[in-house]
Amino acid sequence: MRSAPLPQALRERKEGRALLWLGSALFFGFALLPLVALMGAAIPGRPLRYLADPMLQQALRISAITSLIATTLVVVTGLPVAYLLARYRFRGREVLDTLIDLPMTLPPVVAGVALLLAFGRAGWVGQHVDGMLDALFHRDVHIPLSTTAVVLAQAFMAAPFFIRSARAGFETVPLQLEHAAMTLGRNRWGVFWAVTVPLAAPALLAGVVLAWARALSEFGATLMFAGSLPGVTQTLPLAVMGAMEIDLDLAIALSVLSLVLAFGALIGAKLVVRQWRL
Amino acid sequence: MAAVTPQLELDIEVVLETFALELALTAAPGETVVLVGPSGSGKSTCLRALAGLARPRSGQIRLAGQTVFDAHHRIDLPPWKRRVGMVFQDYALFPHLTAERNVLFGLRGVPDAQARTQEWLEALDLTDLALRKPSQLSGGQQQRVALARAAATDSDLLLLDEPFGALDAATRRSVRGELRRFLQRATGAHGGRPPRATVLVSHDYLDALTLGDRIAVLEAGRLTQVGTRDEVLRRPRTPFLAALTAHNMVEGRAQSAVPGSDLREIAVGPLLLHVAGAADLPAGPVFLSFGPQEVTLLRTASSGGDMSPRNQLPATVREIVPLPDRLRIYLDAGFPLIADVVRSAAADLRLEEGTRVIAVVKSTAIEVYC
Repeated sequence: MRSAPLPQALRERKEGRALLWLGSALFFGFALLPLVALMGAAIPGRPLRYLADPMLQQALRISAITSLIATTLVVVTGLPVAYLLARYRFRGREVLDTLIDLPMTLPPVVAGVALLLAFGRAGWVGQHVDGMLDALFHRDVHIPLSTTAVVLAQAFMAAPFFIRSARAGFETVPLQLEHAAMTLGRNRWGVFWAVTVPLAAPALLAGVVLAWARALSEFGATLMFAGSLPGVTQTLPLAVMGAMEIDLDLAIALSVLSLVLAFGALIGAKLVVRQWRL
Repeated sequence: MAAVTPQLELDIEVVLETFALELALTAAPGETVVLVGPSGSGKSTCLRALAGLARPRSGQIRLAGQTVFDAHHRIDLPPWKRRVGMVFQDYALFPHLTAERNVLFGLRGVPDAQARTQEWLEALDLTDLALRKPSQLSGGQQQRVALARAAATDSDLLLLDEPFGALDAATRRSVRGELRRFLQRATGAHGGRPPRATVLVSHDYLDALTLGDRIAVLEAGRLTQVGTRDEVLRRPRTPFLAALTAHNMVEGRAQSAVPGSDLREIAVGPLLLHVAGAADLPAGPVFLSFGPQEVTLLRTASSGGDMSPRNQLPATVREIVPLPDRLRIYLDAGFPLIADVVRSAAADLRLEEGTRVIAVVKSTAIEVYC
């Protein structure tokens, strides 16, 4: 009598799993189809010739430089913020936390407008900075429509990705280990670099990759704040937009290149993190 | 005896959630003081205050003659300037470093760091495990790494927080002896440096007995007794300690001495107990202490033999706990009483819970002190 309900339960469980796979297949079909289409369009080989195209090379160079500088900027300024949020309880912590995440939900174009209002020629900071920069370099310098603007736009949009990940990483480091390091003669600065950072390294690294990928794909804020000047502010995503009006194959080549970079970043990060855990 | 400058002088008050920890304590160079008490009594907080990881509200701490904390003069040296080595309860080994690198961690800028590390790894039988990460070590091995790491530094004071807390019972037994040898080595003069003091925290009375030169009993933030092993064992002052040692400890009041009599009357509630060899004790509140093996149980009151007929306490059996070679009987005589009896005697008495008996304590078996 006891054995009768068992096969039925088993069958139900199998049915449940089949349903789960079906649902997942729908999603994968939907998510992968565009990527397959993009790769398919590149396969005839024609778009690949564009890899030597000056517009593509220029965009690649600007994207590489700006995204790397922006990521560095985010890491340097974001590390103390992440540690502060992970370790200390203070008034307004929740507010600060929410503000940091805001760029993730804000439409990038709006972020671009905000940056323009802050750093633009008539902006709050811009009107002072411009004069200072002009005096410093003895020429007419201003932030909007410059490569600096690209970096600022990217950093603004990418920062929350790094800070979130770094903060979660710091929170996994037991406070006890930092205390132990202190009793072993290290001050807070020494403890941070010798214990906290190495132990949070996988999360920090994941944060760096996420931030870099976000900087690399930045479009809306950059277009608004920095424009799309070839050789100055035209990054890969902006070049895709520009190429669509001239040559579809060039746009495809630029897109494939972006896809490869994004995919490579994710795989690279996974490999490094796995190595670290061992 | 010439006064030795204490290695550690401590007089602090730390505010905790439910009570304030008030504690004054000294430790001589080379001495191991075991701070024993029930969990939540403030033991670990005391260690954290010594290490500079918790800030007392008031008081001062002096280490090897140097003031490391003084609330009045606003001195509060951070942990890294205190020359204190600490072994944490769950060891707090750095998981990303090998055993060897864990020990080396505290020796930055020390010229013979490598040699000293090897020395301590060898002393704790870790040489073969030097290149293992903590996750590849057993609990006992991790503890030895933590000990080596704390001992290798140039510290004036060694702090051990529940060194057996995270070990299973079998490992505990073997480690206890190991730790005793370690403490002898770690607190003795090493490398021409003056010997250091050790404060060890434990909730286990056996730890205290095995490891402490002196034992300090902490209950609810207050020191209730400080003394040598022998003093604390034979003359417990609190029910907590008496229960831990399975010792009978009763509070009473010494009556005025009767001239010419060797016996002294001590009032315990409505009862009068007679104690020998306490003629010079001042009248007033006293403690009575006697081992459970000194208590004899009878079914009915006796008046014959060489027994002092007066130390007969009516009692009720509350609980019977079998020990390897005898039975431990927990009684209620108006106060808790413990008696150890051999099994045959217990059978003769037909002891079971609720049995009413007469507990007899010889007047010569009772230790009395104030």
